[in-house]
Amino acid sequence: MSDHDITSDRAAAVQVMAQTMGWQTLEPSAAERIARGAENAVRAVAERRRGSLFDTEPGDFVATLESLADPDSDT
Amino acid sequence: MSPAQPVRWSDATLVEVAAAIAQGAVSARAVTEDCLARIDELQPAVNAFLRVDRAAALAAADRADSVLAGSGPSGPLHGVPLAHKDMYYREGQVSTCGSRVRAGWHADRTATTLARLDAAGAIDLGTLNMSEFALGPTGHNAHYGPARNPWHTDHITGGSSSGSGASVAARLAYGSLGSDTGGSVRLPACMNGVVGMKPTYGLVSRYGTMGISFSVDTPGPLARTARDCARLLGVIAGHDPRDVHTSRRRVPDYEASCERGVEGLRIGVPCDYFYDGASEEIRTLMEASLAALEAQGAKLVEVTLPDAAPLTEMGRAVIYAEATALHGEWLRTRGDAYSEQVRVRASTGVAIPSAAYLEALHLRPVVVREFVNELYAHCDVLHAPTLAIPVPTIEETDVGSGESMWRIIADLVRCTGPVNYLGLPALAVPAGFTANGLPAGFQLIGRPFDEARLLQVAAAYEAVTDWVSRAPGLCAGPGAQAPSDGNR
Repeated sequence: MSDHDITSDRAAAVQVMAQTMGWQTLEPSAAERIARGAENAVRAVAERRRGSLFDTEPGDFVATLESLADPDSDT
Repeated sequence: MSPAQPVRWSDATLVEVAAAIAQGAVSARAVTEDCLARIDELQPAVNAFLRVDRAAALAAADRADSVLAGSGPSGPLHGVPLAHKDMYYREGQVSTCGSRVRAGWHADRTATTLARLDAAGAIDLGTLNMSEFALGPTGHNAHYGPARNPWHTDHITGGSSSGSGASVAARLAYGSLGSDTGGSVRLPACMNGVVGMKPTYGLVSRYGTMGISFSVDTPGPLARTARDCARLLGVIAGHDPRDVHTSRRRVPDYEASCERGVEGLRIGVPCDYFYDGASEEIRTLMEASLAALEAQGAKLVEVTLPDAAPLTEMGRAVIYAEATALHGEWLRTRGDAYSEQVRVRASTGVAIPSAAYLEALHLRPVVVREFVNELYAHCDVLHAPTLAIPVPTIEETDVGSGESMWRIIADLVRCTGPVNYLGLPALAVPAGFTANGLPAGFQLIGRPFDEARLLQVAAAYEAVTDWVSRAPGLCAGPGAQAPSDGNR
């Protein structure tokens, strides 16, 4: 599959999802830009993955931040 | 500032004017009238305000003077005029969120932050310009026009808290609330030469505030000095039962921290990421700011950051997914009311798989724990540019939703974005001017809930430089100076 095909498919997939959400029709160029912006984000998440999430306890983020604070920072 | 001296109150800082009002050296009404007169004069040039609440502000000022005469100041902001990004709701008032969609929407609640500022005695001058729905780092707004940089009105203010940066820099208000989801407090602070705090996620309530991304959004103050910011933060910080994500930690005395100096403090200097692509001008200003801190006894420590590059993108996986969820109904029913760029950005979450979104959220505690433990074993505070390039013009960044959109956004948020995913506090501090006459600055990034230490470092830096006392040429007068070496 050529790069052009992938690009077209990617934009088309975004257009289909937007349509499913009931939104206005997205221009192919806008759909392509959305796909590109999202792709970078999703790739970053995938690359950061180290093992299965089954091994990670869900955490309360604010509690995590509190646990990492300098003990003297509230004085 | 001695009340005996002839003063232009617009040259005073928030802390100075609060003291002068409390001591009876000037009335809240006189200070408010002064701000309103400056707004009348400068609003056409900077477009910082979306609405000026003249009558309400003057009435509040009169009440403040009356209360002062009867029982003394009601709080640390008694009679001080402020103005806020038009996404902090006040019951019964229109809050546009910089959009056409909400152009006539009357808020049904008052933000906790505004209620706390009210209780501290602040006067609210009106609502400030912002990027549409806070989705944009430049300050462009297709519906209300861009806020313009008071240092040079052809240049951007930065966004999304564009009016906050412009109004504080132009001396139209003594302080302002902005919000930071990818740099939206720090970029306008940097580009307008004022101080801006992005607090730790969970320190400041978001109740009654427009959301972009409920997992990342952080309200924060902009003001002229570190101490001004400290006062505002001290008023708005702390647990709010109406925002379940707020911490129950005790709020420290941020102003006291401004007196502590930096002797022995370890300042981390990144040798990668934040300086990749930085202009020579910015590098030079950063080196000068580090030298000023070192001269006061801080110890500079070169640090290698733990994997900062992907953090902005991981944050986007969260931000876009949540933003699209928030905007989904309006994208369906009122898509035409969005500008094209914001419609595209608000729609991006449709291409983020739900599994990737949840994975990004799930990984967040793990990533921040690694980052903090690795970095802050070697330093107390990280020092880095807020913006690694000179402030661009409005025209250069007016790219709509075209091919350049993601590149412009990426360039502007490169240094600010990683912090938001991590939820860490960061303080933008003015540090001079580039050759185009526009401000530049550094940010101090700390451990969670270490805002006091960031303010401590910034105040020490301000003590040996005069950047924060500079006023833009728009405000030319006895206090205004041309950009030059800021070392005292």
